[in-house]
Amino acid sequence: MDEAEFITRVKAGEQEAFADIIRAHHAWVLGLCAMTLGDHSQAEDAAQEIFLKAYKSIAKFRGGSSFSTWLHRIAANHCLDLLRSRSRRKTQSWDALLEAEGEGIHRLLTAPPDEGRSREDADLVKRVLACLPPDYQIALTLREVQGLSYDEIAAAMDCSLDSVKARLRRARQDFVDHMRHFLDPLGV
Amino acid sequence: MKNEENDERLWARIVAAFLRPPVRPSARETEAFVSEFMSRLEQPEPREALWFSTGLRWLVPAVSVALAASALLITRPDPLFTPPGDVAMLAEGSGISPQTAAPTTDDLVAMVMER
Repeated sequence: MDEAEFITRVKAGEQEAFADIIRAHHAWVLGLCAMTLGDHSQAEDAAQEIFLKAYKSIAKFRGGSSFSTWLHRIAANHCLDLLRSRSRRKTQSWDALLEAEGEGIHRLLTAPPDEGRSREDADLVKRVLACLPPDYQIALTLREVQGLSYDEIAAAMDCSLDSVKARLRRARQDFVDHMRHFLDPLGV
Repeated sequence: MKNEENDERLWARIVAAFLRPPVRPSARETEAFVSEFMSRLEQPEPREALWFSTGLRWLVPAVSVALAASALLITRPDPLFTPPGDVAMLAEGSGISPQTAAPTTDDLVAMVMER
């Protein structure tokens, strides 16, 4: 049975059909939440909320875009809202973090890509990502982690293609400028 | 050109270090997630007050504005205030017009005394 049929069944009031939709999209929704929010239990809660929002508003889904794009928009908006409310509460500047955690950041940058990570390193990754503005975090995650095209990111973030390109370029430059210091001595 | 190449290499390292895809949830974790979601769906939703959910929520700002306007009207000095006769006469004798700014009796007496 294809996804469109599950959606039709959910619209007709068959709750059970939504379980199959969740099964199909759970991994990436949870992945997006985990990458942007960091904490695993917060990511689980956020993923539940995202699916609940999708379930409640599925009647509004007309099929103009793919269901995945529609769900990406709900997920990106939800994560963006959570990140914005979080960044109002506490923000650590790049400079403060680089000064305090320089050694750890250097270790992360020079470690082999497939090496396992300690809890301490995983926490440091979250704190580094949290230095980026919320919309940069979302755009980078959608592009680099989830492999979405610029068009798909524009649809998910409800903005123009130019805006997506500009955000990604600035996010990348911001990251590179702050990390350059750690890799110059390595001859990178 | 060299800078761009360096930035490309640096970016590749940054992606490997900070933008590594998270571990995919196992089938069992997904099933646990689904059953938690479905049990959430079956729980009755917290009910809003009927008037609030049936399009009467505009009443909240409307009543607030009405209350604020009433409070302003009550506390604002009356522009048509006329001071008691003796104070008015006193003020007129001193060349002060008590009608212009609706001062209180105490203000008028103070102004006269100053003169």
